[in-house]
Amino acid sequence: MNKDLTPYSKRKTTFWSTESMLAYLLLLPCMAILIAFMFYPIVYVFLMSMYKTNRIGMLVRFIGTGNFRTLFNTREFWEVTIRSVIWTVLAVSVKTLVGLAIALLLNVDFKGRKLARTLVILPWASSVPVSAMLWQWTYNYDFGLLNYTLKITGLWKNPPHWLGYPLSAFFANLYVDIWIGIPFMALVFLAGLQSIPPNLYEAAQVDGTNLWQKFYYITLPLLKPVLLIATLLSSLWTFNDFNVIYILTKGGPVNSTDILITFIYKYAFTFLKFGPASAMAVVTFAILLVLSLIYARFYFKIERE
Amino acid sequence: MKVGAVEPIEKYLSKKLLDNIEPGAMEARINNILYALPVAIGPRFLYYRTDVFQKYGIAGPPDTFEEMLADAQKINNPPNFYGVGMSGKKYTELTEFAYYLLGNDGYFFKINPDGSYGKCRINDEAGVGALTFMNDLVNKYKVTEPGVTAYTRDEVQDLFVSGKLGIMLSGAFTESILKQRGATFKWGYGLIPHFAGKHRHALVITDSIMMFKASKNKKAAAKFLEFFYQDKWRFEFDKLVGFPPVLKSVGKLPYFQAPIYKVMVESMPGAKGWPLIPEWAECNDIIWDAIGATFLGQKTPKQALDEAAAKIDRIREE
Repeated sequence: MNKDLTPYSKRKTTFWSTESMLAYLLLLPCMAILIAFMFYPIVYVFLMSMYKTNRIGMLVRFIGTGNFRTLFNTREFWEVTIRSVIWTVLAVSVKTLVGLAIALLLNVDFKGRKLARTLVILPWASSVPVSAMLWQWTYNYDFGLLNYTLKITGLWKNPPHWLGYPLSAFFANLYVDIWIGIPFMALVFLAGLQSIPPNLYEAAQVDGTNLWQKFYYITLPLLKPVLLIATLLSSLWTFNDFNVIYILTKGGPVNSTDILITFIYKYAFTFLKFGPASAMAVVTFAILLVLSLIYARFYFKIERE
Repeated sequence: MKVGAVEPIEKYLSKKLLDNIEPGAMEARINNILYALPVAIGPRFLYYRTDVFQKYGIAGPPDTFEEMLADAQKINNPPNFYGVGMSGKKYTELTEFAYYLLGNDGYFFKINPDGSYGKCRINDEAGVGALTFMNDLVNKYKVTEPGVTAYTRDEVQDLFVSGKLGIMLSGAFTESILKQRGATFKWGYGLIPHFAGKHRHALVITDSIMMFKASKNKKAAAKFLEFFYQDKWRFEFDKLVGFPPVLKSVGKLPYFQAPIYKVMVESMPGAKGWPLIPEWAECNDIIWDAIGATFLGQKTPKQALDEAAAKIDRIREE
């Protein structure tokens, strides 16, 4: 052993001769892929947001906040942003409430529960674009299953063109997003419910509490961390739900179902205006970062309690 | 071209190949430089149900849009059958607005003396007249399928193929779809109509094949083009896609003497294409919004097109 080595040098030598070096070497390919396919594009998007770009995405001239100033002075941008918020709030609220209701039902032991659990997961297990295309045909006025069923049962003799008018198109898109998203919420909540110790409910039973009291004083508080995580994830995914809207209506009719993500796509890949599109992507990132930080604050507050 | 990505192609190709291509198909010749070769060319024309027309005693396809309206009113029988198809949902092409606009002696931009595009003119008398007529077909005379803003061109095609439309303005691809899906009714073709007192201008779409300037294999690419533009392979390609031939020699083959090809050849004189400007995708989007807003009753045709023209001019000035 070299007696001239300092404690620091000794640690450094030890490090390189242990498994740590192997670990870092094994991580290197993954890091290279992450840097090439994630970090580099993200950094480039930030750069494009501050530059004038040409139609093949090359940086032409630094303009600082020019793209952002143009965006903030565009009425359409604000309409689309507000619509994205409304879209997210409505979809996540319904997904949370219905998902929780389904989880509570599936937590009860009944005959056929396993089958019910399998059926509930089906919309989420199918690929989102495939589901959206199925619903596109379901909503078709002339050949779709929905209008056919409504007419033949007499429930609605003249059903509308679901995707042809702004309000019905918005809610038609919303329904599909909710339909696809409910299973995830239901399963996450079910997992949370199953982690609640049953003796708490037994003790409550002895105290003579009713169903609502059990839910309000036991289930809800203990489910809060799971609720927060699930709604945060759902909010992030719903805010950026490109597939459903692009396949069903492409943001129409007359941009009435456009949300930020479809608007970004249009600017980047239809108009080839990468500068403004990147600026919108940065704005989206900022909105979702603020949302995540607010959630994180609530989550850690609960953890401390 | 502006970013220098496209290689001028003429010097790589033989005179024999270039002389064999219909001059009207050379859309990619800009400022006298040829940047690409036409792969497929598709003039738009009219499909109509000959059996339904016969039933109602209508002699043949309409020549003017006014006659088309009269025919559509006769054969219109909602909710099972509609006179004429109309799309109002955003699509890659501005059909059918382009058909009505060109048929009213209109165009998207003023043409400067040097051939470049000037200010947007979709809100002039021709443009407003075209959109007003389209809106009247949908909302006043109700001879189209309802809820047009839910239909792209492909979905209107589905209606025609399933026997629910009497008239449709489309391209050669509809013929292929009709045959592939085994449509059992009888149909015929007519030239794209025009407004009374105006000239007929069919819309012609050209898809082109180009070479990248950065390519390291330009000679090999040219060799491929010489191979692909031989009669044998162009014939197979044109049969598959259903478009008329771009090569003069292939156009003389017996296969292309069928009525549908005859109507496409007759559509070519006076045919006009899309404006070749870098901002066209965005202009397309803006005009679609104007059309949709008109069909939905959110704006009048004049309001919608005035706003669209102003927006397009602003974009082009950026």
